[in-house]
Amino acid sequence: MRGGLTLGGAALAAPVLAACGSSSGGGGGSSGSIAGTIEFISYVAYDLRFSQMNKWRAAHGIGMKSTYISDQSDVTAKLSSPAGRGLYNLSSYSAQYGPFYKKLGILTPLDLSRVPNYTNSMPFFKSGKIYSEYWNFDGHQWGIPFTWGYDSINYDSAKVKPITKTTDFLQPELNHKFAIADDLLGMILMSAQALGIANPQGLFTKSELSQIVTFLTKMKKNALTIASGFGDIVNLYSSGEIVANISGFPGMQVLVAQKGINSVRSALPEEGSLSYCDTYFIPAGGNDADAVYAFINEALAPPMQAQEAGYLQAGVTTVKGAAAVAAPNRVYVPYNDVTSLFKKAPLFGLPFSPPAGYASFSDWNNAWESVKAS
Amino acid sequence: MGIGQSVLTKPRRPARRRMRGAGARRGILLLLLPLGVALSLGFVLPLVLLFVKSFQTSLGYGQVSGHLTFSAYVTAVTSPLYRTVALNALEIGGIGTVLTLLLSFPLAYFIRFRLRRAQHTILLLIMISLFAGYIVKIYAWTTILGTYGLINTALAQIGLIDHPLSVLLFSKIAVLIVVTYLSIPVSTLILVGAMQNVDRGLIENARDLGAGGIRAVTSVLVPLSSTGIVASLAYGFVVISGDYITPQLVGGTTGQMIGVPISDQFLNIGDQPLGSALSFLMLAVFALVYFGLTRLERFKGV
Repeated sequence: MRGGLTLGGAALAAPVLAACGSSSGGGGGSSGSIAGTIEFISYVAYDLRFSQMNKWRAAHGIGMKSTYISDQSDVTAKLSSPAGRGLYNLSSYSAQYGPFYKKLGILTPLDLSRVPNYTNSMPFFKSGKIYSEYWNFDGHQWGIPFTWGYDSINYDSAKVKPITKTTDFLQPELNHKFAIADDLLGMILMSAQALGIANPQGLFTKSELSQIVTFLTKMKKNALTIASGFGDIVNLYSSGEIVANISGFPGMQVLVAQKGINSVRSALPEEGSLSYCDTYFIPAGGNDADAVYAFINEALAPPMQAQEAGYLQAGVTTVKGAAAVAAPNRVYVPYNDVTSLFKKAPLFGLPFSPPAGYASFSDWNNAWESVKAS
Repeated sequence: MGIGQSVLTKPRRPARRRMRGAGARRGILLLLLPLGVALSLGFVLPLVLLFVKSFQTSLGYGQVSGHLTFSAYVTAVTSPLYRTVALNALEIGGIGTVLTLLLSFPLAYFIRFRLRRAQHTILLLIMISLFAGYIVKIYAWTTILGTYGLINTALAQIGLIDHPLSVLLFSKIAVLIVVTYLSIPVSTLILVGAMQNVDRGLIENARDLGAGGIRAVTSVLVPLSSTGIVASLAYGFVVISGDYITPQLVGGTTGQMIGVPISDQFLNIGDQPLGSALSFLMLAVFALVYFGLTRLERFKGV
């Protein structure tokens, strides 16, 4: 779901990746002949092309062909069309898309015995309400969560007093000094939190959606620009054009620091925010399942997870993986209190088929378009 | 063949010449074949598919149904949202196109009629400038127009301003400056090409007969290079009005253009029928503008 984040994060983080050592299978390494080709379709960087994973793939004769997307809807369109069936054997869905993809017949039920490292996942990702809503439902496991994070607000502490609330972005002190990210989900849901109308199902009446649009339009009028990507926002900090941004992610302070500005800080808004969690799945009709299962399992191995945290600038999902993450890469998510974070920044549902009277996800899209064009 | 028939019909070419003519035609067709195939596959076919798509029904999230309707066109036409950004695009397109012409025409004149040995070098340099990355060029302008950019710094240093001018970047003006700059090279090349056929002596004759420099250009050069002017205007209008990257990078909160929502329909929202319908409506506007420009050219009797 956070394509811009991944694009910006991975692209900018790649040059500073530490040299990777050899990987281990952690709780259950892959063995036997798993050679094959992974036909990947998802966001750039989710194919984990860092050196340690590349070496592992080379050692096991696993090739990878990648098709990159700019939005989750690309996956939906490609895999649900008859022409797209069987072309790909590895993809990812933003957690909330699980039931929708199951309905479309895009997903393959997973054999968890072939992903032994999944047992090492943090409790949130292998049990509980969210788990049974998005990853394990209708009696099957459909996806393997591997990366997650939350939306933050960011500000330059050397130029402005700490910004702690979403509503701070309406204040005249920030007039024409901040950027809004072109991030539909982040902006709609953070605004809903600020207005006190958010609910875990992500259901808003049309009138509530209008309130959100009004709120965002006011914010937009106070903003300098709507930035097309997070990389763009990083550049705006470094050129001194902005002192803050919404929505963002904690890794932005690291990216801006790489440009010589060490004073950017991140905050989880007091009103609350939202989380995201991306999930590997095997598209229906995909081949070379051995190679794909082995890759997913390896992605959950602690040494790989330690690399992924820096590569994706996001959180990892296994306990041992989180323990292996180096200190500079631990700022992206609070590993010590995952449950509290998901309470403050829920993994909101998305209204793909809302009950009558509620705004659909398409309505959200149109609402955000109208804010941008206002 | 009777006598009357031979008188009424055109004299026939000798058989050998006829055969040579037919062979030449076949040769030309053969030479054009690769281009024809490339254009058909790379332009016409996608355009037809896009046109069909514009009548399909979006099921949301990148999915479409084969049921054909006008609903995407109805949404595109009736939505105030798209009307606003379309008008914005046409306004910026119109002003940007005129600015481009006003700047590239004198440059083309200078290159064609004032430069002699350096003409090819300058044309080559203009062409080389086209190889520079589009986005890199836009970013370069942010360092010129920015709060701490070249212009604000220079103005502050000579004491003309106390605070940086915020209107220079992230505004409609910024979009206009950048799109005009981006269009000038191609527009100049088109105009130089059109002026190549204008005899320098005609302008000199006009000057000898008492016309001032500007009068000579407007009375002689402009009519004789009007095809290039029309082509330059049409090119500029299409490219500027359809731009969706520049408004996002330097347009701030007020410089939105129709290209952005069109791109969003394909890349983010997954409503391909609406994106296609908006594209074809803009294409219709471009065609109308082009038609108007060509009529204007004919009206001038050139």
